[in-house]
Amino acid sequence: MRISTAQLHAQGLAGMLGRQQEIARTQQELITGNKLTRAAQDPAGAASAQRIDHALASLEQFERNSGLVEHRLRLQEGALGDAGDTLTRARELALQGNNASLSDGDRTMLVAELKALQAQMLGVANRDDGNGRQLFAGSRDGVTPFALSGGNVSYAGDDGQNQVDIAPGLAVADTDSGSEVFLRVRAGTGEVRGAADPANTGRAVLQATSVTDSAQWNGAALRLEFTGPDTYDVLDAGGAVLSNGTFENGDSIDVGGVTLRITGEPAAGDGFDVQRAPNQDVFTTLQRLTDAMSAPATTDAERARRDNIISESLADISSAQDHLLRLRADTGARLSAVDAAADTREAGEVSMSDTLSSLRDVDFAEAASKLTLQLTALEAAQSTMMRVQGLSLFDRLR
Amino acid sequence: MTMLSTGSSALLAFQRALGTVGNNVANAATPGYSRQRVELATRPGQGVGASHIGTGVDVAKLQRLADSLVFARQVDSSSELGRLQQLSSLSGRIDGLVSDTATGLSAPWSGFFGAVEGVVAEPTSTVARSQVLASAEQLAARWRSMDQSLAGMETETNERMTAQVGEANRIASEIANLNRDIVAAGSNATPELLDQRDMRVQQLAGLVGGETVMQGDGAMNVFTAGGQAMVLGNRAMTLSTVTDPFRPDRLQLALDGPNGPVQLPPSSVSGEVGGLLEFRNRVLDPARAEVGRLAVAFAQSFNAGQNAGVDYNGQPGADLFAIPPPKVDRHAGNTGGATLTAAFGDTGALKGHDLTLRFDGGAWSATRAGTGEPVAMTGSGTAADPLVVDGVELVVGGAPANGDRFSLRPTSGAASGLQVALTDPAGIAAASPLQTAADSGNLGDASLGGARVTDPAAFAGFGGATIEFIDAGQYTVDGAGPYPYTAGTSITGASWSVQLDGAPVAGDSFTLSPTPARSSDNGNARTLAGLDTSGVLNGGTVGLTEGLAQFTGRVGSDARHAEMTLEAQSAIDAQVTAERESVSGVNLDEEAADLLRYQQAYQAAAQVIATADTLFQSLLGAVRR
Repeated sequence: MRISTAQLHAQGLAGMLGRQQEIARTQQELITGNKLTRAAQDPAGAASAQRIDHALASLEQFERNSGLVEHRLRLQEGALGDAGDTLTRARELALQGNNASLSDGDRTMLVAELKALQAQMLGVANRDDGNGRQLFAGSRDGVTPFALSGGNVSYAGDDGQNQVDIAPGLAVADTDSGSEVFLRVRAGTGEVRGAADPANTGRAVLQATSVTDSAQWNGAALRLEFTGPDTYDVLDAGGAVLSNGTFENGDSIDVGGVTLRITGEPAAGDGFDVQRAPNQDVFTTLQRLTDAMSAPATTDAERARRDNIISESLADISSAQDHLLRLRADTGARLSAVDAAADTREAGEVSMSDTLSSLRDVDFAEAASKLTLQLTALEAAQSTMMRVQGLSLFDRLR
Repeated sequence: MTMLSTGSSALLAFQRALGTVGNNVANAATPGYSRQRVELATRPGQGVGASHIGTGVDVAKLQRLADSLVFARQVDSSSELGRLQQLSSLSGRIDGLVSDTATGLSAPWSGFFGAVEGVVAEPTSTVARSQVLASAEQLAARWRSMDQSLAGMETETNERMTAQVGEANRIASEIANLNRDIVAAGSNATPELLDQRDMRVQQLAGLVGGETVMQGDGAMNVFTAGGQAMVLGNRAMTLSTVTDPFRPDRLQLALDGPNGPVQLPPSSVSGEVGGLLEFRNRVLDPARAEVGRLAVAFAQSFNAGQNAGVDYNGQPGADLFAIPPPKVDRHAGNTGGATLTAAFGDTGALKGHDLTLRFDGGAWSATRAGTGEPVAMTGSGTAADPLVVDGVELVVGGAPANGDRFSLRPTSGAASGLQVALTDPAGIAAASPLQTAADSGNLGDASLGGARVTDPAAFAGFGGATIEFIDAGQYTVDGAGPYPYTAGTSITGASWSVQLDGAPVAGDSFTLSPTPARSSDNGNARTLAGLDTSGVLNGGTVGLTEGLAQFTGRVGSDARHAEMTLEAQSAIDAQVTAERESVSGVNLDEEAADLLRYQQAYQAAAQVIATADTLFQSLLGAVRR
């Protein structure tokens, strides 16, 4: 094929320009570290890089969310611990107050401390997370949820509990609502509650109530009524006599699957009511104990009434402690879910970053050697051009 | 004397030859120049008795070395190259726009959903809520600027087309003039004229594509790739641009005829103008429609999510985004008075393709604007029963006439109108509309979950409800009932539905109420935050993030395809150019050799004359003696 001078020139030039274009591209790759600057370079790769970018960005937000919810759950854990400690102290005070030999002055001191404990409990229930958000107000976290007035608690929050996303497809529950933590607390044993009739005139004290045969007791209300100092009837809710028996001080009486342990001497007509354990908020539990301890007790009946309430309160407190412990365990489980989510995110991030890197990042060693090759090619093109252009027959015409 | 005349004929011939070599050398770098060669031929001999004596050399003709077949291939290649260069450079720009992080949607998209996820963690935080509004504004602005950049490319296409059509007309008329001169000169047409004409034909082919047909008289007729005559003999046709009958902002290619300009189909031209039209139809329009479709689907689904929730003031969530309705344009030639009002219907059915709606024989039909492929349409066009096509609902007002046409661009340009409609951070509907509470005296371990509004319209008047269990298997709602309860089934009211976890006991009661103001519930915020991956496109099968990624991929592969075909065509063009150069290009070494050859021949011829003179002098000397 015949070659024209212009073509030879154009060919050499095109070669050099082409090499320079390649060098510019490699240079850009090396400078930016990115080999996928435009989707045209790898359309499918660019699309998945975009998806992965979005997923990675959402992981960052999950991490922030996770930090926030972890902070709140830790505070809840602390608050539950503090509430538990308060109850433990109240239980100690109740046990001290249960001592018949205690003087009225000593008891006044106990009462003062109990009142302080109640205020302390209110403080715990009204804690916020340091960002102005209440821990225990449900989905009304802008209000102060609990208020005490005359020993009665009022709750301004609600039952709401948020779920917060902490990893793709994984959400963890935020703090529990105040109603769940402090209000809906089962009294008694959590199952059954026995209470002395406030009108009792004898000196009998109900020490413990427990369900011994849950198949027999279906949760119906029952009444143990003494017909004499050592005889009793068991009545149902309608007042019908179900059974009767004899009693000796310290006996455990079984009434339809529920066992009552009673000490002291009952008077005829004294009654003890058994019912399914109701809900009683912790503030009321503390208030009942405080009221009972602070009430003057001069007669046997009054003392028995006080001892009965203290005994009931001990059961209520320990049931409330169980409740708080259960919540605390649950909070711990959620915190460990938050920890596990961090690992999940980490693993996801590593694998996605890897994929992204293989799609987009420049292999510097490869790019550098490519650059060397391209530079060599450019030099070759240049010197070829010079050699070819330098040869002309006209030069020889002398 | 023959010797002298032979010698002088050679001198003249080689002078001519040397002149031609000089001309070739002089034009070695002239574009479009075809090298020339002097064809030498012996003069007829003189009869001397029985034999002949040669009488020298003549210049038979000056030959222009060109190959018409190679030229035809060059014309083809230039038109294809022109088309692909336009297509590739413009597609590459869209690709850059979409995939560059500074102009693409990817970064503000992730930013926005991150902000919504932030509200999930802190539903009452004004900072988190304001962040949603700020990032919504950024996202909408990015969407607008992307669509406006695409709209700018539309304007640029118009301007380029006008300029290129002007250039093509100028070149066509020059070709016509050259044709006239060449025909007038007949067989004496100079090679320079032919070179000029070939070069212009190539330029014209690069602009509008071309095929050439030689006429017997030497004139060259030029037709566009689609067979439209551009130059016939010494007459040049005039191309022009006319506004699209549906939309005044778009120019279409037309040919000036005796009755005014006639619009040409895009397939009738190739070259740069063809590339522009192809870019507009095949890359730009779908890209704008898709950008708009994604914007509409996003705005619609986010607004629907907002509407389903309750804001910080206890009000049902208002739209976060405002999006303009689909564009309907009537054809300039419509005779009826009908108007079409369009609104978005089912987001999942939205396709985004531009459509042409036609009224004929009392019925409406729809076809794809680019391909003419029919598209299914239902409804009668009344407000109660609107025409529904590709997720768009149309209501016909006025009376259409047979043959009336409308163009429907469902989503094209919609992204330019994407605005953030909320300004108050409290307006973000983070809370679920229905809240539940268990009575504090409940003894069962049941709690309410999965509270859901089943009928938003009826729920607007909902004032609250109480569910009370008479026993574990029966309940009343606001005293009505009792209804039987089986564990695991949901309890439903007129506009709501809830589910119970755990077992209720007699006397347990639950209350449902509309979420009040200042709730920190995040139920709806979680739904909103999940909208980036939930399927809302293509009948609910494709999520928005996926849709965006697919869009990037498609724009990228369009650009890549154009780039690769351009590369292939460039290789073909280089080959064709090499062929042309091999026939017509000047090789300086060859010219130098010719120079030497003709110089030597010239010197030899001069020597012949000198010898003839010497012979004559010898004769004279002999006679004098």
